[in-house]
Amino acid sequence: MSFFITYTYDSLFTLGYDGQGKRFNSRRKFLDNSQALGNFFSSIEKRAFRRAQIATGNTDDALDIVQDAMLSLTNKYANKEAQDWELLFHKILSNRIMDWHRRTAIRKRFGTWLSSNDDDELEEPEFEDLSARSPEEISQTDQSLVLLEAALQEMPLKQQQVFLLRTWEGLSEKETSVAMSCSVGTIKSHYSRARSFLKNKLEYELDR
Amino acid sequence: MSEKKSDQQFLNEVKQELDDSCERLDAQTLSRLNHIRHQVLEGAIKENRFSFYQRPLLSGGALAFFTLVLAVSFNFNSDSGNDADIALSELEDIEMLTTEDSFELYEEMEFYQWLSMNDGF
Repeated sequence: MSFFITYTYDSLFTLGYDGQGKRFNSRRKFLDNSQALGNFFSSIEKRAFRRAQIATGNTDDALDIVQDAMLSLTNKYANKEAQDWELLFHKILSNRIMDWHRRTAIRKRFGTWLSSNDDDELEEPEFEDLSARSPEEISQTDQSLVLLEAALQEMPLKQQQVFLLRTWEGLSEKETSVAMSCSVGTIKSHYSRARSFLKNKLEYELDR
Repeated sequence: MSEKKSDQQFLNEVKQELDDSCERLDAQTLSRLNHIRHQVLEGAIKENRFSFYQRPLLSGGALAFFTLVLAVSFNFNSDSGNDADIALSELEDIEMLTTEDSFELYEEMEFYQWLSMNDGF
C-alpha cells in the first residue's frame, strides 16, 4: 500500500533523488536546467566539433558525433549538477569518437574484403588530407594551423585525444583518465609521447 | 628550467592555434551547430512535456484500478455473513449426491413430507 502511494506520488510529481538522497522534482529541475544546458552547449560546441573533426577528418561525421554527445548528455545527465556536465560531456564525446573509429575500421576491412570478392565498392569515408593542400590554398588559410592539424591526425587516436583534453580543454590527469576511461599512468605516457611528437614536428613551424 | 618553459610556451602556442581555429569556423558549420543545439534541447523539452501529461493519466488509471479492487474486496467481505448458509446448503447437496439411498426417495420427497405432516390423521 505504501509502495503504491509512493509510486503514485512520485509519478505525479516525478520525484527523484539527488546525490545526497534528498528528493527533488526532476521535471522542474530539467526545465530550470534546460537554459543552463543551452548555455553550456554554446560554450563547448565549437571545441567539441573541432575535437571530433580532427579525430575523424570529416565535417559531417564530426557534427553527427557532437549531436549524439549532446543528446546523450541531455537525456541521461540533464538533472546532474551543472559543474559535472563538462567532464561527462568529454567522456561521452571521447566514447563517440572511439566508436566512430571502430565502426570505420570494421567498414574499411569489410569493404576491402567485399571489393576483393565483388566489383561493387563500398563508399569509403572521406578523409581530407590537410598536408596535401596546394600552396595557394594553404596561404589562404593559416599554414601553421594546417600543419598542426596534419600532425595531430598523424598521431594514434588516443594520444591525440589525450593531448587535446590536457592541453586544450585544460583537464587534469585524473579528469582525463575519467574522460578517456584509462589509468592515470596511461594518460601520462600518452601525453608525454604526444607532446614530444608534436614538438619535433612543429616547433619551428609555429614560430613563423 | 628553460627547457620546461619552452615546452610550456610551445603548448600555449598550440592552444592558441586551436582556439583561433574555432573562431575561424565557417558560417555554415556554425549554423549547423546552432541548429543541432536547438534540436537537442527542444526534443528534450517536448519529451518532458509529454511525460508531464502522460504520467498523471497513468497514475490516475492505476489509482482508479486500485480503488475498484478495494471496493470489490470490501463488497465481497460484507457478504461473508451468508457464507455459512451457502456452505451448509452445499454440504447438503454433497450429502445427497454421495448417499446410498435411492434417488427416487429424493424425487418423491414432497410426498413423504406431506405424509409425515398428515401422519396424525
